[in-house]
Amino acid sequence: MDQSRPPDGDVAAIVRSRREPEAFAEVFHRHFDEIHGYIARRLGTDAADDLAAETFLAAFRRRDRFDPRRGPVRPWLYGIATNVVGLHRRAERRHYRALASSPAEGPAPGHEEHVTGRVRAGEVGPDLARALARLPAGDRDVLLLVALADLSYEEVAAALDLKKGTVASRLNRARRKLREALGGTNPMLITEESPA
Amino acid sequence: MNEIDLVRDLLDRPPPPSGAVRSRALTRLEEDMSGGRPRRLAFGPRFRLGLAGLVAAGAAAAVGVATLGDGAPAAPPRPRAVEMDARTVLLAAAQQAEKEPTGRYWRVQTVDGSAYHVGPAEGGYTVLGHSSHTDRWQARSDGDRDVTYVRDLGARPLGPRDEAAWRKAGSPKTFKVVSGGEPSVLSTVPGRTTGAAPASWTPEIVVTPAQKRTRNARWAKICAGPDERAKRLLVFKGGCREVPSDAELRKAAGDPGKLRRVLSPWLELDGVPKERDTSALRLRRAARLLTSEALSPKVRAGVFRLLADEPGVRSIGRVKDPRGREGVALVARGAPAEDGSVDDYRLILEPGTHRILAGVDVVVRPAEADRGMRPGTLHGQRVVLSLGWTNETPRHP
Repeated sequence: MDQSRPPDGDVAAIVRSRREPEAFAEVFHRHFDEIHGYIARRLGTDAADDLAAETFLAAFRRRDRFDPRRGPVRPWLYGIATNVVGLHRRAERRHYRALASSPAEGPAPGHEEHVTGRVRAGEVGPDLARALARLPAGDRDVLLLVALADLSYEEVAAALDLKKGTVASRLNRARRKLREALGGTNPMLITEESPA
Repeated sequence: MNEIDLVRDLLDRPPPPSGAVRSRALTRLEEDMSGGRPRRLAFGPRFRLGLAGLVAAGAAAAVGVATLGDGAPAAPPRPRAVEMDARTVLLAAAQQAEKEPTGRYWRVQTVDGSAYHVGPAEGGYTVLGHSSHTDRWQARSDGDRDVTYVRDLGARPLGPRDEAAWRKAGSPKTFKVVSGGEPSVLSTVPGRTTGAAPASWTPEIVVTPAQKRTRNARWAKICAGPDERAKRLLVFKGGCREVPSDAELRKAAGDPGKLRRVLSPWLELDGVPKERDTSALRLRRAARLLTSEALSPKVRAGVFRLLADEPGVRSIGRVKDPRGREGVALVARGAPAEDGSVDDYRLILEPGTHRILAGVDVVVRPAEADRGMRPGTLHGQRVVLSLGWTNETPRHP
């Protein structure tokens, strides 16, 4: 809410685009691939091809409502992309179920790869994917903005128009449900409680 | 490893979208952005292409834009006694538009470009950059493909005076400019400017009938549903309201209030604050409809008629368009931007036929970044090389 913060290049492009719509192309060029990736991870690549385009059209249409005091452009775009994904909940659940039923890709990790404590999701993938499909939509949105978009709590709150406390409680609930789905107290799952 | 990492792993990052996907997305965005207004900004990998000969023949092109482009003080309007006022021009344009034959594709060829100031305010010069030639074929039927081709034209000094200053500076091949508030480099070599379309024509950028069906089905579903947010978010071209039928338009043609109601979804400027909702913006928006959209002759005539009732649109009589073609200009003053700058928007029509030749922005008061631009300088352009319905098969020139 710091009004004196100098606008970043994105903000300048959006502000400029209110008068010169073409300036919005800069926002597209900077963020399209990333937003496309986010949607692809939630709905699959085919859907993302179309919906990423719609996300930017929607963002362009709403550029007058972008408020620099509420944060930078990237979380704002993620919020719109999340809303667009939200119009396709059923397809999203289908996507996760498809992941659950397809074998993990790539060679199975050798034992030595466990040295670092990292476990490929492939081993728990089906359970995890099913759990994702079962999460309440609002909780999943928060979880995936943290996990896939690396947004902070504040940014998720701004992106989804939620209170920060709501973000924290949704995230905790989502994480708890995933942990439970993966066997509850699986010692492999070291759950640092630091904000992602 | 915690469950957040597992989710990241499970939902693997896909490869970046292909060039075709980006192009298609940007083409859709561009159509929305252009709003009939000349492009002023880097449209990155985009595909508006340029009239080749136009740019290649730098000198000829420069001569073409001289009347608007060389930073000479704005020529005062030269209304002649016989000039028609804006309303008369627009009503005549409506009559002609109504008589145009339709065809299988609405084809529009445009050359866009934005002006940028290079160097110090005094002694610098203005270049036309992000200039590309686009050839767009929109099918009347959703059973046909829409096809677009684009080609970059490279940057060049805007007018003779700019060209002289550029030569004096050693004829540099790149220009450092401020674009969208950020430093940016333009290249005189077609295709070399970051984000520009290729120097030669892009392959077909296609929207297939299957893609149209998917899109239409999705829109129909959203429009039938209760989610108002979704309607605003996803459905364009007037939201979920129907495009007026020719019959409705015929009935409304003589009644400006009625006409405004049936056409308003097409002219509405979503989210535009009142102070910027000016005649200039509506003129620009209308110009966009009249060029970029495949509309029936009746709808096009209706848009011209609506403009005839715009109080802020004036005729300034004969001008030359950026290609040097004789035209009749209608002008409206834009609202001051956040940076204090003001532009006029001019819609230039061909005398007699009233076909659209160009839409241009002309500096009235420059922004800080453009402080070397004098009033009267061309600020951006969308030149229409050709437009109309055709039964030919899509191909680029």
